[in-house]
Amino acid sequence: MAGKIQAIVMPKLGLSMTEGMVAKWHVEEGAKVAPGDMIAEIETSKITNELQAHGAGVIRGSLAEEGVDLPVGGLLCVLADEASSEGEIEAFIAAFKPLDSDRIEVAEAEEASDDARRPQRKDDKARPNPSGQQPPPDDSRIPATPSARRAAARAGINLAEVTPTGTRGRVTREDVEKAAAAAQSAAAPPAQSAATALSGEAYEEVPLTSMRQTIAKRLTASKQAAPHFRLVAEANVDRMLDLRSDLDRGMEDGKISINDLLVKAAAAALMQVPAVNIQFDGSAMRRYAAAHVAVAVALEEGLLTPVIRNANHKSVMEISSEIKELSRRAKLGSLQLDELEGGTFTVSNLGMFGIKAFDAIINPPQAAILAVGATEQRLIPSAGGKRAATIITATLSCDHRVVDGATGARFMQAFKALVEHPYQLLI
Amino acid sequence: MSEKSFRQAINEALREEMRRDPDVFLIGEDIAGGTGGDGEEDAWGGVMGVTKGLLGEFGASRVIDTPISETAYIGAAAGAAVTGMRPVAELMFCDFAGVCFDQIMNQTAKLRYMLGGQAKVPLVIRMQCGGGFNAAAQHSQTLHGLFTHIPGLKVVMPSNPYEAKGLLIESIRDDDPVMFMEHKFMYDDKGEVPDESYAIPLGEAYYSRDGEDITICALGRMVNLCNQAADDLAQENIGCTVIDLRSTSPLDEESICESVEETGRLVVVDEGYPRCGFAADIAALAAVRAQPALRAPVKLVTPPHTTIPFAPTLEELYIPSVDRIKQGIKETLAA
Repeated sequence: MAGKIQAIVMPKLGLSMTEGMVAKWHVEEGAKVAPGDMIAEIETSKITNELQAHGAGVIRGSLAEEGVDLPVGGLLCVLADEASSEGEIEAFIAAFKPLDSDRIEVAEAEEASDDARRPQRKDDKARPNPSGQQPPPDDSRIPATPSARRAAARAGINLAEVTPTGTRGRVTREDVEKAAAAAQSAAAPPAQSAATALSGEAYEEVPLTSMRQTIAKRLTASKQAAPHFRLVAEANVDRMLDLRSDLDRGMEDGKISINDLLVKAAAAALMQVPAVNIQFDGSAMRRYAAAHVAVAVALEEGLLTPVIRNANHKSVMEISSEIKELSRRAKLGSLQLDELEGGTFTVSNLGMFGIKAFDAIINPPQAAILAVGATEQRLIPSAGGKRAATIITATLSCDHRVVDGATGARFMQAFKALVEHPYQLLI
Repeated sequence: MSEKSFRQAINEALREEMRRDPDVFLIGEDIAGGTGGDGEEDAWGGVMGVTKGLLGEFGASRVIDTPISETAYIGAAAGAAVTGMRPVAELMFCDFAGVCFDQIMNQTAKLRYMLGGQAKVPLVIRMQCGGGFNAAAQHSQTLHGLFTHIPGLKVVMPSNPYEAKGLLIESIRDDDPVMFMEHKFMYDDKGEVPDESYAIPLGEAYYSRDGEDITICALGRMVNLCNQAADDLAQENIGCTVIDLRSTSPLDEESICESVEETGRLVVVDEGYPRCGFAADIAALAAVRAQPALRAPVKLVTPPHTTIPFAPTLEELYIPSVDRIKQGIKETLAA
C-alpha cells in the first residue's frame, strides 16, 4: 500500500533556498485535502509562500512543528488514503529520506552517520528531573556537551530542537538555555511576560520574525566584517525634475519618480565604473557585466531589497514599472526568492521622510550601497549673484576590502554627472 | 555486551579495524613474537600481550615485528601513513619516544602542514604510560603533556575498557596522527564492552560522575581514582562532577568551562609532570575563560616536579592517590 502514502516535504522556493519553516498550518492531522488546497504557509528568511496539496488524501503523521527550520526536502507531514494503517504510516516515516540532494543535505546525512557511531553509554543517566516534566524523546545521539544534555533534561527540551553553536556542531548549555527561554516566552501570553518586567514597566515581548532575524544577522555580519567608508556628494537635480515632468506628461498611469531616475543613473554609473559593480564573499570578488540594482523597500515588519536585473539595459519606463511591481508584491509577501537575490549594488532612498542624508549598511555580498536623501531648495552662487537650485545628498558606503576611496569617488563622480545631465539616461 | 579487560578491548578494536580496512596494519617490537626466535610465533603479542592472536588472522605482512629501533619503525610507519596506509605502531613505553622524537615531532606532526594539506598522516602510535610498577624513571613516565605541546598531534588517553575500544577505533579512522596512551596499570581492568564496533569522538569529554559542588578534571587511570574519591565524598554529601577528558588534543574546553561555571570550584588531577603540563593548562583555561565563576583557587593534584623514584615507598607517594585527591577537594571546598 506504500504507493498510496506520499511525503509532503519542505519545498524549494528559490534556487538558493536551503531551509524554511512552517509559519502556519492550515490543516490538522486527519484533514481531507484536494489538489490545490492550501496546506500551510512556508516562511524562509526572505519570503512567505503558500504550500498547496498536489494530490488528494488525508493528512497523516504528525505535522512538522511551526516555527522550526527544516532543510529543503525535509518531511512536513504525510498524505495518505484512509485505508493506510498507522503502522504503514509509521514505517513510511521511519524509512523516509530527505528528497533533495543538494549540498546541505549531504552534510546532514554525514552528520547522521556520525551520530550512528555515537554509542549510548550503559551508565548514561541524567540527574533527576526536578520539574517533573515528561522526559523528552530520545535525543542521545544529538551531539551535545554533558552539561547541555543535563540542562536539556531538566528543562524538558529535546536537543534535536536546539540550534547548536558549539565546536563541531555540538549543542552547548548556553544553546539549551536560549532554547528554554525562547520556549518559555513563546508559551507565555504577552500580558504575562509584560508583567514580569523587572522595573515594573509594562512592555510587550515580540519574538523576532524570520525576516527580522535575517536582517539582524546579515547586517551585523556586514558591519563587523566589512570596513565601511562613506563618500558624500551633492547633485543638482533641477534638470532631472524637468526631465521627469516631461516624461510624465501625457502618461495615463504610473508616473515616473525621481528615485526611478536615480536607480537608472546608478546603473549607468556602474557601467562606467565596473569596479563597484561586484559581489564579494570574503575571499573572491565577482565582477559583473550587467548592473543588478537592488532597491530597498520598507515594510511594516522589516525591509526587502528586490533586484532590478540588468538595470543598465532597461529604459527608465521599464525600471519604473518594475520597481512599482516589485514593491507591490513585496508588501503582499509574494516575492520569489530569486527576485531578492543576485544584486550587485543597492539604492536606498529615505528622501520621502525628509531625511537630508544618511549612512547605509552594505548588503552582502554586495560591496557598496547608495543612500539617497531628500531634495532641498538652496540658494547657490551664480554669475548674477545667487539662484535657487534643487539639491540632493547621496552617500555611498563602500566595503574597503574591495573598493578603494578613489574607485568609490569615481563612481560618485559619474553618478553626479549623470544626475545633473539626465537626458543621457534616455540614450 | 560482555565484560572484557582493557587489553581485550584494545585487541578487539585493532581486530575490527583491520577487518574493516585492509590499509590498517600493525608494526612494532615483539608485537607478533617475542620469545627469542626458536620458531615459535605469536607467543606474546607484544610486551603486554595486547596484540596476541592478530598474527594468526592477518599474517606477518600486517602484523610486522621490527628490529629494536624506534627511530626506524616509527619513521617507516609515518612514511606508510603519508602514502595512504593506516599504520598502528606500538611504541611499547612512551618513554621511548625519546629515541624517535624527530619522527614524531618534526615529521609526523608537521607533514600535513608543510605539504600544504596535500598529504595526511593517519598514524596511530600506541604506547604504555604511567607509574606504579616500580619500573623506575625510564619506564614509568606519563608524557601526554609533552605530546600535547606539539601542534599537529592528537593525544588520547582512555580511562576504562569501554573507552579504550571506542577511542582507539576513532583514532585509527582519524586522518591525523594520534598518540594513544594506555596506562600499564589498567590492562587487566574489566568493564562492559559492546561486541559491535563503535567509535567515540575525540575532543568530547564525558562526565563520569555528576555533582554540583566541585569539578574534577582528569584523564586515563586518574579518572578512576577521581571516581573513587567522588563516591567516598558522596557519603559526606559532597557532589563532585568528574570530567573524563578522553583527549588532551583536541581538548573539550566547552565541557570544562560549562561545569566550572556551574560549580565554581576546580580540581585538576594528573599523573604527568606538573610544570607546563596538563594540569597547569586546564588551570590556565579556567583562569582565562571561567574566572568570574571561580569561588576558590584552582587546585592541582599532581606528582612533584621531579623524576619518578624507583623506591616503592617513594613511588607510592609520588603518584596522586585517592586520599590526596579527596584532600585536594576538601581544601578547595573550604577555601
